[in-house]
Amino acid sequence: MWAYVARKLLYNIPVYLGILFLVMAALRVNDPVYAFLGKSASQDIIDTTRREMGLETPFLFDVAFWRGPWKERDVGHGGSAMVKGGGNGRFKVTWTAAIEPGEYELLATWPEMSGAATDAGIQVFDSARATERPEIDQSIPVGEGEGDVEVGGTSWRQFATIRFESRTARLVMTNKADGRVIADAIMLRPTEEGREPIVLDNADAGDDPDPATLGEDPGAEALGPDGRSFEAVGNEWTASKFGRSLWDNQYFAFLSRVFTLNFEERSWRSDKRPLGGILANAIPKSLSITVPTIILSTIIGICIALISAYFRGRAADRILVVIAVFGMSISYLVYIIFGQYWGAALPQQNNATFQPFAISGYEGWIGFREGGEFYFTPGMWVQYCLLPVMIGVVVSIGYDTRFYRAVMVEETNRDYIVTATAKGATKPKIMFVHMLKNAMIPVITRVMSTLPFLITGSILLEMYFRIPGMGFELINAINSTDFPVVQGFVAVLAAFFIVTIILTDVLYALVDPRVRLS
Amino acid sequence: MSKTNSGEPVLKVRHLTTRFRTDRGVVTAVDDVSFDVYPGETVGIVGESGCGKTVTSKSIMRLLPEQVTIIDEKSEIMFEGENIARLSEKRMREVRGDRIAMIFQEPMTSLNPVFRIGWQLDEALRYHTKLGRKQRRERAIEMLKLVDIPNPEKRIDEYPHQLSGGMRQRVMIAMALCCEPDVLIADEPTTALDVTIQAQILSLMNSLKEKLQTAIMLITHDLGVVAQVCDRVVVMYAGRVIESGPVADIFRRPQHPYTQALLDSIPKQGNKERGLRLATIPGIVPSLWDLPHGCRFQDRCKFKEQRCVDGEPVLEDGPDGRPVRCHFPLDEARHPQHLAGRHAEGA
Amino acid sequence: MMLKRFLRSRGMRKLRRNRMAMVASAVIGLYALVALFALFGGVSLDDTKRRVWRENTPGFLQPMSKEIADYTLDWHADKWLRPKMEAARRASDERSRQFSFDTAALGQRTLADLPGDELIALWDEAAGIYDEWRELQDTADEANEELEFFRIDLDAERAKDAPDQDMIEELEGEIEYYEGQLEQAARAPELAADLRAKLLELHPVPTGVPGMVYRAKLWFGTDSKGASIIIKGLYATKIAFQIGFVTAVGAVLIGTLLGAAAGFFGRFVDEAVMWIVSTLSSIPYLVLLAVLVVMFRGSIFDNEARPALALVPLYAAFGMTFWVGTCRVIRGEVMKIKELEYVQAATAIGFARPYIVLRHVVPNTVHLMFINFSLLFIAAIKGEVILSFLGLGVKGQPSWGIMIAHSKDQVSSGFFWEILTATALMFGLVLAFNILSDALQDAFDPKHVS
Repeated sequence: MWAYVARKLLYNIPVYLGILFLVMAALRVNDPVYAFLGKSASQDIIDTTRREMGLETPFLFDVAFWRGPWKERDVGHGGSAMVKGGGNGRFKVTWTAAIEPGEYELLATWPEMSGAATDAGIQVFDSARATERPEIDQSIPVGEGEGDVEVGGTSWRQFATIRFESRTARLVMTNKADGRVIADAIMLRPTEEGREPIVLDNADAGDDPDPATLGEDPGAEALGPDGRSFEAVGNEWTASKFGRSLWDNQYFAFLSRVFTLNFEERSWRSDKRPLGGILANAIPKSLSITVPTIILSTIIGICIALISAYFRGRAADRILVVIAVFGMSISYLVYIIFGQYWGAALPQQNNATFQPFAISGYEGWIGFREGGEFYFTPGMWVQYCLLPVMIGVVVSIGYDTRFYRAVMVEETNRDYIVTATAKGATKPKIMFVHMLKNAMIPVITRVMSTLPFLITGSILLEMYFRIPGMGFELINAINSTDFPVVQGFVAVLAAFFIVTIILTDVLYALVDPRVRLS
Repeated sequence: MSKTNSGEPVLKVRHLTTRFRTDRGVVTAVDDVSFDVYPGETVGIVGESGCGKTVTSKSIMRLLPEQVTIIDEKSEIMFEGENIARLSEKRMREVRGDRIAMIFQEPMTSLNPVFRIGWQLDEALRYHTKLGRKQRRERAIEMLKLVDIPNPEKRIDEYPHQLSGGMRQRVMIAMALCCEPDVLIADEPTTALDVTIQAQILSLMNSLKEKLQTAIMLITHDLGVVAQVCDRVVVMYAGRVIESGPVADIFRRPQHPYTQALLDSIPKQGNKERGLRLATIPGIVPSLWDLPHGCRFQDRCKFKEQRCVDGEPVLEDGPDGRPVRCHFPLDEARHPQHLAGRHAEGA
Repeated sequence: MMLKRFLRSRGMRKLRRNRMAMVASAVIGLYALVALFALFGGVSLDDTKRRVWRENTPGFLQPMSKEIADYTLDWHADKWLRPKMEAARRASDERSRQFSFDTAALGQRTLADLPGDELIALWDEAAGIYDEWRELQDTADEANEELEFFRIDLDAERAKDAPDQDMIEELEGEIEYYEGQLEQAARAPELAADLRAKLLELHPVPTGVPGMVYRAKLWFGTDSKGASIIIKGLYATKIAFQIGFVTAVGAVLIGTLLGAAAGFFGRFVDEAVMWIVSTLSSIPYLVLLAVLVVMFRGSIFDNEARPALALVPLYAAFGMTFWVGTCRVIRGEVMKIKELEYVQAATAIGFARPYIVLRHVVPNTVHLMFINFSLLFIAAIKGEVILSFLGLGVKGQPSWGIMIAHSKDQVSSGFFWEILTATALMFGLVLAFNILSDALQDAFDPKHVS
C-alpha cells in the first residue's frame, strides 16, 4: 500500500507543479507590481517594491533576454543610433568620458521614432558614485520640446545639470522604460565659459560597465543617493544579464519555499503578516463551519436518499425528488441572503426576545489557557457559526439527496438485491446491509471530493457573514492583489487536494474487496 | 396428468396473470399460465426470450418490483395449501429462501461483491434456522462440499470476484439449497456459462435433485438442456402456455407448430449430409403491446388459416392427449417424415 | 448529418414521450425568445438604467398603504418635479427650458404636451397645494405626537391618589387644542387627492401603447435607483443566455475534442490531456475562476464603460474550467466506443485515424454533448451569480447575479421585489434545464449516476 501511495505522490508531482505554474502565471499576466501599486506609482517606489517583494527576478526566464540586445539603426547623430524595447532595465548602454571636474549640463539627442519611451532614464555616475537618474521623454522629438537647443546643426535636449568631482563621468542608459529607448548621442556641456563640450556618440558607448576599471579616482568611495556604488550597481546589472542561473527565478523560488514548507513569506497588505500566521488563523475558522456542514448534510442526505429509494416511485419519493430539484434551481446566494435576513437581521430589527444568531462576524469558541489546556465556549459557536452551517446544510442537502438517491436506486436494480430478497432478507436488511455497503464507493467519492472545501471554507458564506476564514482571506487577497497569500493558499489547497485523492483510493481498497491498490 | 408422479403437486400454478404498468400503458407479460410441479421432478419452462418465462418464475417468488407489477386477482399459486400470490410480505419472506429457493442467470452479478462467500451462504440460514454461528459455518462448508467446490474451508472466506463463473454458480446453488427447499427455481442457470461448465452444473443439479428430493423448475430457452434434465416441459409463447407434457412426448410428437419449429431449429449432426439446412422460425416474437388478434403465433405459422385470425385457440387436449393451444394441432399425418425419425434419436 | 442521426435516435424518441421534458424545452424556448428580443434591441442597456418611478417601489401584488402613497406623492411633487420645474423657470432661453422639461420624464411618462408657460403655471398651482398639504401633514404629525404625551400625562395625573385639578385642566386644554389641530389636518387627504389630480394633469400617465409599456415597467416595482426591475430582469435574461450559451458551447467543444483525442489516441496525447485535466481540477473551482478573472484585470476587458467586453473574462474563466468535466466523460465514452466492432473494423480497413474519430466516434457522443451542454449552462448561470457577488463577475450592466447581490441592503429593509424577480426568472430557466438534463440522461444514459 505504501508503495502505491508513494507512486501516486510521484505521479502527482507534475500536476502540482502545473497548478503552481498556472496560478502564478495567471497572476503575472499583468505586472503584479503595477497591479499592486497602481499605474501612477513613481519609478523609485516601483523599484524598491519590486525588490522587497522578490519580483526583480523573472517569473521563469527573462523574455527580453531572448529577444536579443540593442539594435542598431542607421539614423540619428553620427549616422546610427541604438534602440531597445522597453523592459525591466537589464539592457544598458554606458558612455564613459574623461573630463575635468566641474559642473556640466547634460544634453541628449535621438532620432524620432514611433513608440519611444516617455521615461527613458539615464543613471549618471561621478566615477563610481551614483548621482542622479534623470528621465527623458523621448516620445517628444528633439527640437520640439521646451528648452531644446541647437548646437552645431543638431538639436539637443538638456536633461540634467550635474557637478562632477572626479575625472570620469559615466552615463548608463537602461531599457527600463515604458517604450522604446533610443541611445544615440550625449553631450556634456561645461557651464563654465570657454571649455569645449564633449560629445559621445553611440559608437563610443560600451555595453557593460566593468567594475575592474573603476575606482582610480578619489571620489570613488563616495556613495550615491540610494547608497549604492557604481560597482554595486554594475555588479547587479552584470549579474542580471549573465550571472543569473536558470533556477534563479520566482517560480523556483516559490517551489523551494513550498517544498521546504517555508510559510514565512509576507502578505503585501499593510499589516505584512506572514503567510503561516494567516493560514493558522483562517483554517480553524473555516473548519468550524465546514466540518459540521459536511457531516450533517452527508448523514441527512443519505438518510433521505434511503427513504426515497425505499419508497421509490411512490408519492413520498416523488415529492422529495421535486423538492431537491426545486431547491437546486435557486441560487446559493438567495439562500444566504434570506437565511441571514430571517435568521438574524429580522429578529434584531423586531427586538425579538430570541436572538440566537449574530448577523455577521466571528468569535473563537476554542481557546487555549496557559499550559496547553483548552476550553470551549459552545455559545459562541451557536451565535456565529450555527446559522451559516444551517444555510450550508440546507443548500447542500438538495444536491446530496439527489446524488445519493441515484446511487441507491442504481443499487436497488442490482442482481444481488434480488438474490438477497430470494433468500428471504427483509427490506431494511437489504437496504442497510447489502445496499449501503455497496453504495459506499460513490458515497466515499462524494464525501472525499468535498473535503478540499473543508479548508477553502464556503467562500460565499464566509464573505457574506464576514467570517475571516480561508475563503474570506482568499477573496480579499485576490481583490487587493495580495499575491503571496493567493499563491500560498492555492499551494496549500492543491496539496490537500492531492492528498485527498490518494486517501480516496486507499479508502476504496478498504471498502471494496475488488479494488486492489496497484 | 403426469405419468412420472401420481402424488399431490408441491406447487400448483393456476391462471397466473402478471401485468406491468409502463410508460406506454399496462402490458400483460404473463397471461393465464397454469402448470404443476410435483415433488422430486424437474419441470422445464421453455420459450424464446421475452415469452414470459422469467416473469412467471419471479411472480412465483414475488420478486417483481411492487410499484409496477399487478398480479391478477384470479391468479393462484398454491404452495403447501396456501395461495402465495396473496400471502403477506412477512409470511412470504419465510417461504422465500427456505421453502422455495431460486438461482439466477448471471452468476457474475448475482452475488454481492462486497461480502464474503461464507457470509452470503450464512444469510439464508440466519433468517430461516435457529442454528448457532458455528453450526451455520459448518453447514455452509458442508454445502460447498456438496456442490463440489474444492477446498471449501478456504473458499468460504473469499470474495465472489475471486471465483470463476462456474464456481459462483455452484455457490449460488449451495446458497439456494442450504435450507433444503421443496422447490428450486432455476432461471437459465447455465446460459451465461461455458458449455463444459454447463454440463457440470446440470449434472450437479440432477444429482442434487436425487439426493435432496427437491423439485426443480428449470427455466431455459435451450431445448438441449431440457432434453438432458427435465421430466416434463411447459412451452410458452408470448406470455401464454401453448403446450405441455412429458419431455419424451414433446420431443417425439410436438403438437403445436411452434414447438415443432423450436425442435427444428436445434442444430443436428448429419443434417448437412442429408442436404438439410438449419431451420429457423421466420419473423419475430410479437410485441406485447400489439399482439395480433387471434392466435399469437399466426404471423410465423406455416399452417395459418382464417380461423387463426378470427379467434384465439384455447388450451385443450390435442390428438396426442396432451394440452395444446392450437386450432389445428399437428398429428401424425401432418408431421413431416424426417421429423419423426430425427426426434426419436434426439430424445 | 450528425444531428439528424441524433434526432432520429431511440433516446430522442424516448425524450419526446417525456411530457415534463417537452414542457421544460418549451420554457427554455420562451426564455430564448426573450433573450433574442433583448439582443435585437427590444430592451437596451439604457432602458435598464432609466428611472421610471421612485426608488424601491413595490410591484403589483402589494397594496399601497396610506403612508407609502403619501410618501410617493411627496416624492413625485417635491423630490422629482420641483427641481426640474424650478430649473425650467430659471432657464434663460427656450432650449434650456425645454431641456429641463425633458429631464422630468420618467420612462414613457413625459410632461403634458402644453406650452412651457402653462406647464409652469400648472406647477405653481400644484406647488401651492403641495405646500399646504405638507404643512397640514406636519401639523398632524406634531399633533399626534403631542397628544400621545399629554394623554399619558393626563392618565397618570388622574391615577394619582390626589390628582392636581389645575394640572388636569391644563392638560385637557392642551389636548383640546391639539385635537382641534388634528381636525384641521383631516383635510389633508382631500388636498392629497387634489395634488394628485394636478400632478396627473401636469405629468400625465400616457395612454395607448406607451401607457401599457409604462405600466408594464412598474409591474415588478423599481430598484434602488428607480429603474424598472422587470426591464432589468429581461435584460439580465439576455446576459444569462449569452454567458450560458457561449461558455457551454465553448466548453463542450473543447472538452469533446480533447476528450475524444485523449480517449482515441491514448498514450502521450492521453497523458498530456489528463495532466491538464487533473491540474485544472485540483484547484478549487471558485479559486480558479477568481484567479482567471484577475488575469484580465487592468486590460481592456476590465472596463465598466464597455460592458460587452467586460463579459470576456467570465467566458474565459468558465470556458477554461468547465471543459474539464466534459473532457473526462467524453474520454471515457470514446475509450468504450473505440473497442466496439465497427470502429475496429474501420481501423482494420485502414481509414485514417482522425477520420475515424470524426466520422465514427464523435457522432456517438452527441448525446453526452447535449447532456453536458445543459449541465454547463446551469453551472454558468449559477457561477455568474456567485462571481458577481464577489465583485468578479458582470460589470456595467444588470445580470441576475448583480440584481441578487445588490439587493442585500433592500432585503434587510424588507424590500424583496428585486431579489425575488431575479430569483424567479433564474429559477424558471435553471429548473427547466435541470429537468431537461435529467430527461436527457434518462433517455440516453439511463445507468448514469449524476
